[in-house]
Formats: sequence, structure tokens, C-alpha cells
Amino acid sequence: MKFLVCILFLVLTACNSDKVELAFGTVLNNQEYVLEANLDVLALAGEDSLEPESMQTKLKVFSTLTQLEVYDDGSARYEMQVDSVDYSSNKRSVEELAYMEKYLQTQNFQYKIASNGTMDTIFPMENFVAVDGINELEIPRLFAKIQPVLPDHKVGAGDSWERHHSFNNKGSLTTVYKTFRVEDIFYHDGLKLAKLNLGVRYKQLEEDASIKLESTDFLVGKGTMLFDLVNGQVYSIHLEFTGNLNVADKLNNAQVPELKMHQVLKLERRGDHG
Amino acid sequence: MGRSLAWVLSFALIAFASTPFPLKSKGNVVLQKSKSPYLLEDNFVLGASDTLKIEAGVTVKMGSLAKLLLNGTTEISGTVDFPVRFIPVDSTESWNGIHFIATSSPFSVKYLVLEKAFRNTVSNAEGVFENTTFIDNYYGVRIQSSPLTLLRNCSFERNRFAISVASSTIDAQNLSVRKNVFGLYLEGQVDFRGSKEGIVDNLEDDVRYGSVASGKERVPLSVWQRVETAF
Repeated sequence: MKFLVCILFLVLTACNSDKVELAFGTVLNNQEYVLEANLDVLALAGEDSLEPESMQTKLKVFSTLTQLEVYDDGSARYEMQVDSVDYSSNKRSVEELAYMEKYLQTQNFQYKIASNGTMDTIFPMENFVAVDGINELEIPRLFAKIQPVLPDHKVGAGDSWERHHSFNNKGSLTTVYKTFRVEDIFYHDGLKLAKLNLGVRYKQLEEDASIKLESTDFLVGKGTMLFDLVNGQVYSIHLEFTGNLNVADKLNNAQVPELKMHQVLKLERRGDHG
Repeated sequence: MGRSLAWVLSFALIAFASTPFPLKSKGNVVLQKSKSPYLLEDNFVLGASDTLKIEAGVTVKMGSLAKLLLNGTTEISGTVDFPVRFIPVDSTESWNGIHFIATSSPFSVKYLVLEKAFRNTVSNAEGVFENTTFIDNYYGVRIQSSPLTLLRNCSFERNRFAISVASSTIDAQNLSVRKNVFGLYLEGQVDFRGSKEGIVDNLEDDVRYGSVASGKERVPLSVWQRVETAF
């Protein structure tokens, strides 16, 4: 009997040793990241024979992440400083593109990661104030969308978890559901990395005086993340969203043709990728 | 090296010669001629219960990222001899703009000069611009979802879009809209009262209607841009 208990103990210990802790590091020197957001939207063909219409936008943000403070409960506060921006869109004029790049460069922000791995709050800095109806992009929104929610316990290959978080989206509460599954844990270039499969889904609903925008179903995002286990940092994330949208143009009192959207979001630590 | 030093010195002189844009005092912000010029480098947000008053003769120099977001009571009281002026710190750069968004009290603007902003807006708010000059802006003024905006003796020159209106009611008297790229740009349901007689000599069009109204496209530009910001 004692022999069996010993064997069981050894097996459990061996299993547990394969588990790793996915947590953001408590010591972070300035780390540079590149965030990319490419959006394609197509107006689906209707009964009329008009030419198809589409929008293509590309945004690339070079930024530096700094850890500002670590609290006793294990949570930490970070600041993302925007260093430079490349932006293009086929739906904006040359002057608007120049203005947008300049404006995006002001969007430094801070956020807090709670000890259970959730992103607590995003604090726009005082020089970044979004105005409804002006159609300006928001880097913190893109960052929150791609940011992982880490587990509060050790995990190994094959383990999965699901978390959700809600945020106030221009007056309405949006809940984003995120699922994670550890696919592999491996060594690469001297780093110990965890590869995770990601799944994200949420309903898009926004309404103001000019527009009502609603996804026909859940918008679905799929992708992968590599997490640097040694430094407790995101190494890279690649996430693709697809979905269809119903849009009511309240300014013109018209229903816009159904829109099909495809968005690719990437976050990469600089210096690690050629 | 010499030019850089000269630029730094000239910026320092501008900064020292200007009064920092004041912080709120008991919900009121007053800009006085005796302390002019003021310097605003980034954002000023006027809360819904706050009041901004600007006296005649005040000049505000705006940094390249500066904007005023006015959600409270706003009175800008220039005179013919002493107008209020918002100008860029660096004459080669634009600044963000002034945004009137208060729904609880109408704004009152008299003898104001707005120069080289990217975009000045009236959004859901109502009020009056009297003897106001919009010059060298990208959007002179964009008026969206305004129950009523009065334009009295206003002039627009060298803007890209002098007056851009979407789903609003406008009452214009004695306008001078000349030498802009587009004079009056209308989108959606617009109730334009008054006279368009002064909208002449603009480079592309004196009056242009939005793409949907003209039947060329199914999705207007404003909708594309709004969809982009949702993601």
C-alpha cells in the first residue's frame, strides 16, 4: 500500500513539474513593442449592380512599455509610450492621414494588470481625449482587444481556460469572451516560450447620433500567442477577426449594405523578430 | 546646430512670454486681456457644469496637439476692435481645434478668429457664431446633429471645407465664403435657412452634396470612417 502511495506521489509530482506559471513579470525594464492593426471592410453586393466598395486601413505603432509600479497584492501598473506611427487608409485624404498620425502619437496610456491576470483599467493620459463624432482611432482600444488574460494557476500543455472582461464602449457595456489553450512549451533562442491558441468573441453594438452599428452575430477572433516564461512578457500575438455588420446611417436616414469585416491584429516584441 | 538653437530659443521666448492656459477655479475659467497671450500645449476639457469666458482682445496660442473640448457654458466675447484669436504657436503647424459639444446650454461666440486648426466642430450642441472668421483651417467648422447653429456675419477663407454640415439646422445671414476648396458641404438631412449668396469663388465647389445624396456611392465616407473607429 505504501508503495502504491509513493508511486502515486511521484506521478503527481512529475505531472506538476510540467506545469508552468503564466504571469507577467514583476521586474520589467523598458521593452519595445510593435502593434499592427490591418482592417479590410467590404460592402456586400446587393440586388443593384453597382461597383463593390471597400475600405482598407493599415496602422503600425512602435511603442515602449514601462512598468511603473508593483503593488503588494501582486498587481502592477504599466505605461505604454507611443514612439512613432505609420498609418494609411483609402478612405481618408492626405491631410487627414497626416493629422491622424500626429494625433495617434499622443495616445500614451497606462493600465493595471491585476494579480489574477486580468487587465483592470486603462487610463488615457491627459493629452489624449477622444471626441465622439470626430472619427479618430484609439490605440488603447486595440491594445485591450489583443491583450491576453493569464491564468491564476499553473498550466501545462493541453490546459485551457476561459475568461471574460467587460468595458464601457461609448456608453454601452461590451463583454469580450476570451479562451486560451496551451499548445506547447518549448525553448527557442535561449528563451522558454509557451505557445497558446487564442479564441475571442464578442457582440459589437454601438449607437450614437450619426450611426447604429451592430454585428449580425458574434465577431470571432482566432490566433496564437507566444509568451516568454522567463521574463513574464508577451513575445508575440497574432489574432484575426471576421464578422458581418449591419449599419444604419442615421445622418442620411439610410440602411447601408451589409458589411463584411476582416481585421488582423499583431503585437510583437522588438529585437526578437529579424 | 545654429538653426536648432535658434528654434529652441524662439520657442522658449514664446513659452515665457505667454500665460499658461488657466486651470478651473470653482468651475469657472476666465481668460483676461491683461494676461494675454495664453498658451495651451495639449488639451483643455470644460466639464458640463463649468463655464468658460474669454474677454475681448485675448489671444490663445495653440500647440500642435492642442484642443478645446467644451461641454459647459461657453462665452467668447470679442469686439470689432479687440477680437479673440486662436492661432498656432508655430505658424507652419496646425493645431487640433475647438469642439462645442454642450447640450445643456447654448454657446455664444462673438468676434472670434480661428486660424490654422485641423477641425473645429459643433456636435449635438447649439449656439451662435457672430462675426467669426475661419481662416486656413482644414475644416473651418463641421456642424453635426446640431438642433440650431446660427452663423451671423461670419467669413470663411482658405479652408479646405469651409462649412461642413450633417443632419443639422443652420441659420446663416450675411455669410462670406470665398477662396476655400469647398464652400458648403451638405450631408444627410440639413435644414439650411437664410442665404447662400455669399458662398462664391470657391475652388472646387461652392455647394456640394454628400456622396449618398448624389447617388454615386452606397456607403458614405463618414460611415466608413466611423466603422473604422469601432474596431
